[in-house]
Amino acid sequence: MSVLKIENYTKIYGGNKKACDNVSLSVESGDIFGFIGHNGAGKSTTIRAVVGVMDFDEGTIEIDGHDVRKEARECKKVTAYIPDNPDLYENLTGIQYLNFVADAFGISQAERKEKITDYAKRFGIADALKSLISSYSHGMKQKVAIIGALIHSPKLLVMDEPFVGLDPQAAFTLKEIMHEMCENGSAVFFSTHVLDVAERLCNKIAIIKKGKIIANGNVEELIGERTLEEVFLEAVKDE
Amino acid sequence: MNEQILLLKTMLTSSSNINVLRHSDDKKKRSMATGNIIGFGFIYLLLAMYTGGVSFGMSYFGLSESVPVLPATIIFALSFFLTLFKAHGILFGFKEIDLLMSMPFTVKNVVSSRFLFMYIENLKWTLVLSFSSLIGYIIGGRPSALSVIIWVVLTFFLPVIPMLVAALISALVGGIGAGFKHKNIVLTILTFILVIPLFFVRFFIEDTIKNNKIEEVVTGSADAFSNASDFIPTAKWFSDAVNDHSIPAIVLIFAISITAYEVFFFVFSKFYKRINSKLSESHTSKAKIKDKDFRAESVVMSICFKEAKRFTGSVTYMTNIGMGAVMSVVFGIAILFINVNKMISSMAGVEVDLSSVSASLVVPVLVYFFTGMVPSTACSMSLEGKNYWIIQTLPVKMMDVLKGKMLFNLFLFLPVGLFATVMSCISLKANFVEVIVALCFTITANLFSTTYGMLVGAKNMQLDWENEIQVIKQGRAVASYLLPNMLGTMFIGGGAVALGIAFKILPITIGLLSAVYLLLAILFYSRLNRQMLRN
Repeated sequence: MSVLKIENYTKIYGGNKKACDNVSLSVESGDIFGFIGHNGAGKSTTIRAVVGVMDFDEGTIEIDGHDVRKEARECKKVTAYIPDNPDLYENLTGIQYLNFVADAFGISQAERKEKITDYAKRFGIADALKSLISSYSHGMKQKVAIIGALIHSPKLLVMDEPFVGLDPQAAFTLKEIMHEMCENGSAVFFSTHVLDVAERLCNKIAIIKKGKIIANGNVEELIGERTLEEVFLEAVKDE
Repeated sequence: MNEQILLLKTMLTSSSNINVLRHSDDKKKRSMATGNIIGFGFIYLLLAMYTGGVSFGMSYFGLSESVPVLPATIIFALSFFLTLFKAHGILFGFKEIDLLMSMPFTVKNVVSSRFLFMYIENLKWTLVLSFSSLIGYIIGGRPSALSVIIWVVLTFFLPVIPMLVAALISALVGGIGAGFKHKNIVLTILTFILVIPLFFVRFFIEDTIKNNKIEEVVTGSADAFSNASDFIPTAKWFSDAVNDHSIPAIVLIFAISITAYEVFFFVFSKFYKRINSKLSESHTSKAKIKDKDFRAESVVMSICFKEAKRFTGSVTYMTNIGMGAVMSVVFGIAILFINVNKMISSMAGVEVDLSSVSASLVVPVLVYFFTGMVPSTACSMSLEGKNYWIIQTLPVKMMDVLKGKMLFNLFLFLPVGLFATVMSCISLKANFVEVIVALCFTITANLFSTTYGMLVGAKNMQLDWENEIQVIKQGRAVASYLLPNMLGTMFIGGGAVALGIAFKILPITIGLLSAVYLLLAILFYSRLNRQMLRN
């Protein structure tokens, strides 16, 4: 069964402008799915609809068999989202924010302690968790957002440009975690502009251009002997 | 284009409802902008009718010379207090500070354009108050053309001095507070220390204004505004300028406004970067995480805690919303030492003798003016701003989020409301029934303000703000709460008190009022529940 299934998703802005037009794709258990496209192509609009932040006009989006509009809470229970700009509660400390997220997901004290301690250590942020988020750098906020997203062992991890602002060590750790999640049957769906990362990390890729999917499939089948960069540039080239 | 004008124009455009109407295709945004314009237009109209009516009445009964002091006094008080509560949020810590400072603008122009932004915002109230009063003055008093011209020109200068004084206080508070680790708390306490004594000055001004009723004017018993002009120099100069065409008075208003503006911003800009940098400094904690840091809570308590941290993390939020709570505590303490008749007379603006009635039942209604002034629930949803994605993506019931926010408001206002009520019961030696009724009223009134605030706050959510001030002081949700609550409390609460005193059935009328508040609270709560289930 698909962990994420998008069928004929359409989002219209201002009455007539189609930000996303008839988008369909499927993310299976174990997939690391890269979603690539130019700025303004419709990546974030799609991602925001998947995680229930934005409503849409046509089509259906299902997560783990639940419709995001009809069974929003069921979908959210198994999903985690990391936005491109980690706007977190600046007046909370890192640990207070993580506790807040854990409370929302009903995570027990023992489980949250184990997970937070482990991930904080892996991301090298354990010593900063008692400081206010307002004192964090962009990368530290991103790390806290990632830990918050992983706290409930989601079936689907959705990320919008996750590597922006992360130091090389943290980026490596995140990739490692993405692989671990997929080995355990979860799936990752993320947007990125870093094509060589996408090429090495993902097993599936979709390219979106002006709101429409123009390529979608396994990485090997899509790129063949070429690089993803060559395929992407050719695909998005205006006729 | 002049730097200041460019900065000012940009700020005004980015915060303007008209700009939204012109450029947004989003129907929700457009309807909210339209609602804002209509809502504030209605408030301006009410204000204009009131001021114009009073001015006309005074002029008609032959006291034209007292009229100019009326708008000048109200403009002074409004400009001062509105600026005092806004200045910190507008002058310091605004989001685009790094961008502006990296551009080729002088610090003086950046900071003074922020002040001019507040001035233009304030000018709406000033013009409505002054010109409506002028119309009443012209119809009733037939002043000379020169008086009218002087009135019109000086109107634009009237708010400058009180706004500069408020900005100076805010700068001083910012400068002192910047040196502390817990600067938000220090800044808020300093603001309260400065504001609370001034609040009582405000009561005195209001007392002076409210006592100036038409009947009293007719009988010649009060030239009340002349009292105000004794301690508000701009009111006296404005009055002298309009009535006597006094050149020194006109020169004083011009000269002091312009000189004070130039001097203030010359000095302030020298220290601004240092103060602002200090204010934006954050202290990191070296403490290690312990087991108790992982404590699990219910969703509602967790949201409530988050809201408490949001509250204590913002000077603007604390000073504007927390003011009512602090005033309740001050009131509760004061009532033990000050004659209740005197205090209530000062607050109500009319002579009150409560010696023959159950005064302990009147006090909770007055305390509600503090605790119910603006609940945190009216702006807390909007204050989520860019963080709203967190709540949206969590698997929690939206009603639980609202419950957490309502719980915080009750934690903030209910204990202080009960404290003031209990103190008044002790001070006024209330009997058992009076104590029970007074406590019931305080509880139900706070339940009402919490749920009503939440209802309008959830309905009029505004997330794309640039500055907290836009939702805490100028938001549609707060405006939707303020006016109906204030008028409702004045008419229904005042009516219950008046009826109770007249027929000596105060426990019954206040008991009935409590029942009405309870019913409304239940109604609003169920409505919220239904709305959240629909979403």
